[in-house]
Amino acid sequence: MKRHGLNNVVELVGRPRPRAEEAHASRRARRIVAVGGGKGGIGKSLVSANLGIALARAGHRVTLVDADLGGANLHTCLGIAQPQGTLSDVVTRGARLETLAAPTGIENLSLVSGAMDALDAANPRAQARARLVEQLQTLDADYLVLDLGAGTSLHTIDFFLLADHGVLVLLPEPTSVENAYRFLKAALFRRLQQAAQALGVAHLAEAALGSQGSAMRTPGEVVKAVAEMQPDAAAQLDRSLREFRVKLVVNQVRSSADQSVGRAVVAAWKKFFGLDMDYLGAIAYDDAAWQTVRKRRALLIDAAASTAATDLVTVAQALAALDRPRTGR
Amino acid sequence: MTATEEPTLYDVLEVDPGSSVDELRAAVERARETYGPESLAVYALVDEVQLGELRAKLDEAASVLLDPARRATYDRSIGRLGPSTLWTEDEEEDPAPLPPVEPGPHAPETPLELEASGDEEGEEPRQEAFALELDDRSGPFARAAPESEEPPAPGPLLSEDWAAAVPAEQQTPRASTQPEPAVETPAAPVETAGRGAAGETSGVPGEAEPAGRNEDPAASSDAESPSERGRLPPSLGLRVKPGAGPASPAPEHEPSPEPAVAPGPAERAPEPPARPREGRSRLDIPADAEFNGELLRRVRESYGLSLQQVAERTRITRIHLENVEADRYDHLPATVYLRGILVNLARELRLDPARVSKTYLLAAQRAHGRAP
Repeated sequence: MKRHGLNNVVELVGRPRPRAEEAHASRRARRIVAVGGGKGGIGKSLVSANLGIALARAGHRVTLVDADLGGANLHTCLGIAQPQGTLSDVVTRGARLETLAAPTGIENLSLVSGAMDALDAANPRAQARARLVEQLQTLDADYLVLDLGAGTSLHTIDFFLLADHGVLVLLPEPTSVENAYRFLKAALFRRLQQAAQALGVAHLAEAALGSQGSAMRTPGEVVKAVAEMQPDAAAQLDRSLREFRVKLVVNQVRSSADQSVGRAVVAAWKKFFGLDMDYLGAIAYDDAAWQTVRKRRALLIDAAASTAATDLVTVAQALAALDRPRTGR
Repeated sequence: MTATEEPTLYDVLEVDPGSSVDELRAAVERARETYGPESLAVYALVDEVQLGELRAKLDEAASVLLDPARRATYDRSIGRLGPSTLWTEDEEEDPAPLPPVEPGPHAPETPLELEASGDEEGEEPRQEAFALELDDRSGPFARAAPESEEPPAPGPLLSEDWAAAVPAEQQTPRASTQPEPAVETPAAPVETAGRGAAGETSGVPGEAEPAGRNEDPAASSDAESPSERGRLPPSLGLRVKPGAGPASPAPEHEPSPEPAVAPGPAERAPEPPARPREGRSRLDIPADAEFNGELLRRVRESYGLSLQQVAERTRITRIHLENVEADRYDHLPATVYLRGILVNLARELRLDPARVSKTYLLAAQRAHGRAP
C-alpha cells in the first residue's frame, strides 16, 4: 500500500497529496490522527488512548502509536505493560511496525510503544525518521493515532503535519493556550516552508515572510505575494495551506466560560490566520479522569459512564464524522 | 484571505449585511467574548498591535451598526462604493481632526471617529463593548466619543490613570517642584477635561467625579509605581493622553490656545500642559494633509517626544516607528498590521487616526506601484 513513492519527510508533508481522490478509489482511506498541543500535562495521552478506544469500539481497526519518543507512557494509560518492541526498533534496526504492534486487550486496538531509551533516540536522524514516517504511512489499520510529545521539536511538528487529522488539545488556561498557539504557528510555518520548497517557490515565500518585523504574515498574504510571480504555484500553495485544518479539543472544561473557549479559538484563528479549524468538542473536567490514570486504567474502560468519558466518545464521533463520505457534510 | 478589498463592518463582525439588530447585538457580544481582553482565545495569538486594531474595528462596527441612523448612512456609503466618497467626506471633517465628529451624516465615512454616536447614548451599554475593558488594561481601543454633551462625564478616570502612567522623566521635574499648586489649579480645567474624555469613559457610569482628577498630580509626583507606568500608557491611548496626564501639574499652560491639531475646546482644556516641552504641537497641519513619515516625525517632535517615549506609550516597536517615519515601506509590516500601528501612533499624537492611516497607506501603496 505504497502511497506515493515519496520517501522523505519533507516531501511527504510538503507536497499536496491527492488524498481525496485516492480515498474514493479504494476502500475508505486509512487515517492518521496526531494528537498534539505544545504543552505537557494537558491530557494528550489521555485523549489519544481514549480516542483510540472509542474508535476501536466503533468498529475501526486502530493502532495507537506512542510518538512521545522521549516520554512514552501511553501503555500506562491503557493499563498494559510496556510492549517489548518499540519505535526505536524501527529506527535502529529497521524493524517492521506491524511486528511491533502489541495487543491491548481491547478488540481492534493495538499499541506501538514509543519508548526510546537510547540516548539519542528522542531525536532520530532524518533518514531514520523518514523510514519511520514511511512505515506509519503504510501501516495497515483504519486509524493510526499518534500521541505526540510536548514541545515544538521538529519531529513532533512533522508528525503533526504528516497526519490527516492534526488534533490540538488545549486546556482553558493561558499557559496552555499560549503553548498551543506557539505549536500551531510553528507547524503552520513549517508547512508553509515545506510546501513552498516542494513547489520550487521557497525563495518567494521567504521573501514574503521576509524581515517584516515580529508579526508573522498570514498565509493569505504569503500566497498573494507568491502569486505575483508564480500564480500556479501560489494556487497549489494555497491549497496546501488550507489543508492545514486543525481539529481542536478543549480538555478539562469546568465552567460555561470554558465551554466557549473552543469556539472562540476557532474564530480567532480564522480571523487572524484565515484558516479553518474544526472544533471536535470539549471534555469536562472530571475526577474520574485522573482517578483512572492513577489506577492505570483507561477512562473509557474503567469509568465509561463518567462525563469525561462521554465527552471523549463524542469527540471521537466528531472526528470519525469528518472521514465519512461526504454525504452528510 | 486573498481578498484585497477593505472588509466591511459587517465582515468585521462576521454577520450578514441583512442582519437584524438582535443578530448584530449577538454578534457584538460574541466578538467581545472572543476578542475582548478577557478572552483566552486571543492570548498570545497575535501581537498587541494586531489585536488593538481588530478591537478598534470591532468597536467601530458595533457603534455604527447598532445605531440605526448611522447604519443606514453606512449602508449607503458602501452601497455607492466607498473610496471616493470616503475621501471627500473625510476631508470635510478634517479641519478638526480628532475631535468630536458630528454624530450625524458623516458618521459612516470616518469610522474611527464615529464612535461619537451622540443621540441615544444612554440606553445602550454597547459603547463600552470593547472600550470599557480597556480602561484598566492595555489596549488603545478606548473610544473617543465626542459625546460630551450629556453628563459631566466620568472622564477623570482616564486622566487619573494616565497621570500615574506618565513616564517619570516627564513628571518628576515638574511634580517635584510644585506639586501642590498643580493639584489645585487643575480643578477648574477638570470640568473640561472630564468632558473631553467623557466619551471614552462614558461607559462607566459616574464612577469618578471630575474631582478625582485632582489626585493625579499628587499621585504622579509620587511617581513610585513604575509598574503602572509601564502598563497603562498604551491602554489609555487617545486624546486624554497627551493632555490630561502631564497636564495637571502645569496649569499655567492651560490658557494657551490650540493650534491646528487641536480638536475641540472640550478636549483642549486638559491639554496645554500636556507635553513635556511645549504644551502641544505648534504645527499647523492643514486639514487635507497627507501624512507621511516626515510629517509624523514633525508632529512627534513638536510634542517634544522621543521615539523611545512614543514606543513605550504605544507599545509599538521602535523599529516600526523609525521605519514609519522614514517611509521605509519595504520594512514595514503588512498593511493590516501597519494600519494598527498608524492608528495607535496617530492617537498618541492626537491626530485623526483614520486620516493618518488612510493617507499614509495610500502613499505606501503608491510607492509599491499598486492602485490604491
